[in-house]
Amino acid sequence: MKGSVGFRSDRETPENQPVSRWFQSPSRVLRRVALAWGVLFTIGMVGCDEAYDPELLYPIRRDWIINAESLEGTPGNINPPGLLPLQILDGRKELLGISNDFLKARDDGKIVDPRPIVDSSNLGVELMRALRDLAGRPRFPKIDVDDDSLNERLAKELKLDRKTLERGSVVYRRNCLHCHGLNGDGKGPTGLWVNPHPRDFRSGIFKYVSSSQDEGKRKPLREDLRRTLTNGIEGTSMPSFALLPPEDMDAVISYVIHLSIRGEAEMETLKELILERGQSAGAAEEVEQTPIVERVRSKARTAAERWLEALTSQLMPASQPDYENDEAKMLEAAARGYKFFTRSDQCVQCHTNFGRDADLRYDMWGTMVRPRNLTANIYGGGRRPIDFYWRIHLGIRGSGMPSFAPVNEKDPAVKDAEAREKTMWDVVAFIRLLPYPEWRAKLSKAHGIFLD
Amino acid sequence: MTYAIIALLTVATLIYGLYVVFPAALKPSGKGVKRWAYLFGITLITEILVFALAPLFGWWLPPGRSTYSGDIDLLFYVILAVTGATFIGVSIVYTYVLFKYPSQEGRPSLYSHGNIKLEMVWTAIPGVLLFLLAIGQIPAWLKVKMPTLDEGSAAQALQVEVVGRQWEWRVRYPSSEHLERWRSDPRAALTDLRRKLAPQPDDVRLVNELHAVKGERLFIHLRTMDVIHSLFLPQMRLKQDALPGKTILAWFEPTEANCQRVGDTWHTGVRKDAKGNWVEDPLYKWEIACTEFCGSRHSLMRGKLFVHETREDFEAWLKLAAARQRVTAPPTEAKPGAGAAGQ
Repeated sequence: MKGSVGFRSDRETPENQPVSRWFQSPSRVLRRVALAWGVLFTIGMVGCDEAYDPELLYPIRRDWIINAESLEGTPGNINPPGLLPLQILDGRKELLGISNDFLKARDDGKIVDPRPIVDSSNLGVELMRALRDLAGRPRFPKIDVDDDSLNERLAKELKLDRKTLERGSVVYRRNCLHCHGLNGDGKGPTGLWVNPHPRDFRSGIFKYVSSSQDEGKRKPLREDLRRTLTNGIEGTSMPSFALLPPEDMDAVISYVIHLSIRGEAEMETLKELILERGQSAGAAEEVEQTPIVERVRSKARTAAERWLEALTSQLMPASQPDYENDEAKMLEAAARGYKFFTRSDQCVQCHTNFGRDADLRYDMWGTMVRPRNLTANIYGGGRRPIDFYWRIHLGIRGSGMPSFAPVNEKDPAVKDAEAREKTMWDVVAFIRLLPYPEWRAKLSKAHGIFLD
Repeated sequence: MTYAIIALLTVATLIYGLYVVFPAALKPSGKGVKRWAYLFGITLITEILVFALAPLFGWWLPPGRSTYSGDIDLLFYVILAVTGATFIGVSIVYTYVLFKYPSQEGRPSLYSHGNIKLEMVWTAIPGVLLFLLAIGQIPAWLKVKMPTLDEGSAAQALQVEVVGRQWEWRVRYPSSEHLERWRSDPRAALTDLRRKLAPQPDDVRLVNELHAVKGERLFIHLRTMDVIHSLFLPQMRLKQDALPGKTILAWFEPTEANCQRVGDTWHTGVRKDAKGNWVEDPLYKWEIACTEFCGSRHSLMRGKLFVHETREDFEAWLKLAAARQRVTAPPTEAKPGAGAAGQ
């Protein structure tokens, strides 16, 4: 008894007054706790909304832009988790030695910084407004390129109408946001921690594509995006979303296209502004000759037209392979494919030892990629023969994989279009058999090719 | 309505619990020392009520649809009865004691230091119960976890590889040509079973869907590519962890079919009625779930289970799925929602 009294009287010195009062009346504390709990609970329940905050705006691009078709250099190691190699340009010294090639690329103007443009008050605000007019807000997304006929085509053919996009934004928020980020930059909270990093839609480049457009203009079909969503991407953290209801799948595809068009318009405008600013150093007035709104719209129109064009330009193989359901022919084709694959000027250049010992390289997003180990039986873009054909024919844009060797009269394997087509199917056959030990054994038995 | 009543009961219990735990917050005076007794009494009654009513609303285990679901359920009910009876008994004694002997002004506290006889009794009873349960579950464990692998059972069964990944199930079936080989050479199936179904170029690969045949064993070679996952087929009463670096063999044999061919797709959520017609039944939409927390999207790591009525139906599906995977030209008219693997 005495001890506790002493304890209490010790505390009741004037400077400790508030503390002792807390101890003396626990009811007040508890009442506060109960009140705080109630308030937090209410806020929590109110926050249970699937859609974005209506006031939320897309953030403007503030990260480095790669302004080149490819980046040179050979990285020695894959980038560490939680970091993007391009962050070396923001002073992340722990990346030195991995990606100091970027420092050189920046000095050569191959990597440019949009921040001076974005941070200069009028340009940044104008760009923000122009992009908002183009693409709306996350809660109310749209694509409005200020051209009625094009807008209508986008809504009808590419399903970029407001209703679909609004649904898409909800689905995206639920399933994609945490990796792919609010504006599709691939830098969501978990994005940095997975390797390969999630796709940055803002460059408008997609890897697993089946349209026959020119490489610089190539866009995926809606079907290509759907395939990726349905099957996931093996070997990466992208899972399958096959269980999404079909209409949600459609909506989220539309939303990804929307993010891509918005991001591409933003990136191209920034590139142009940076270029102009560099040319007319000091004369700031000249930079603003064309209004930003116009620039953004015209870039968006270009991108949108390419997306529309892709819908009707799926690459159809001109001929069909003759080896399906015929083992001997398949092995023959694979043997021819092997011969082509291992030519010193062909696939084996990058897929060293069939990809087992391939070197790292930079891709178009400034991260490291390794040419696929073709014996590992893991394929990002699908494993149907037609998927292999598309990748071999068109290449994989952004990753550094080029399209197939062009027709060359001096080269018997690709002496004309027909021979080229045949050689491509031969390579497909070879790649399809490569991961299986039994089939490698069959190949060495029938054609004396030793792969192990 | 029922939801509302149960929600109301829960909220009432919760509020009363707050009243007991934070009496000063709600009622500053120090009266009402029997509150704890009321709290435990009300909790007990609510729980018994919810427990008794739950089956009426379908809040219960889905009916078992595999050959060993009866064994698993029997074990479940025995354990439930033992633990349930213990829980009710303890709660009644607890409530009674709290009610009978609340703190009283002026009455000194009584401290006791155990009772050897009592402690021996309440250690021995659970010990004996646990021992009996451990003995009693051996046949079921043997049946479910240790299937006999011989040529006969392997030749008549199907095999599939299921690989867990954050956050999806990747499934690989041998092609129908491969199944043909098993039929002609019974040893081939056993070899594949032992070799954990080595990959072949003509394998059929799927994501998030599993197919089985009614009345036929399906051996599952379960693996994981990253963290620990757990394959759960509630209707089949199959639950098996997938451990990194290991291939674990699991199996089940469904006793009912739940899918029907509609054109070139298979429609699940149907059952055969007494006349042999297919009827829609939402209880026949069977799910694959992950039951080991594996990351932020764990709750979305789900799939569909299709049980085909006959082997022919299954092989028809397998051939179609294989054909879809062997295409050398894109389909001229792409159907929305139909992926490479099919739905």
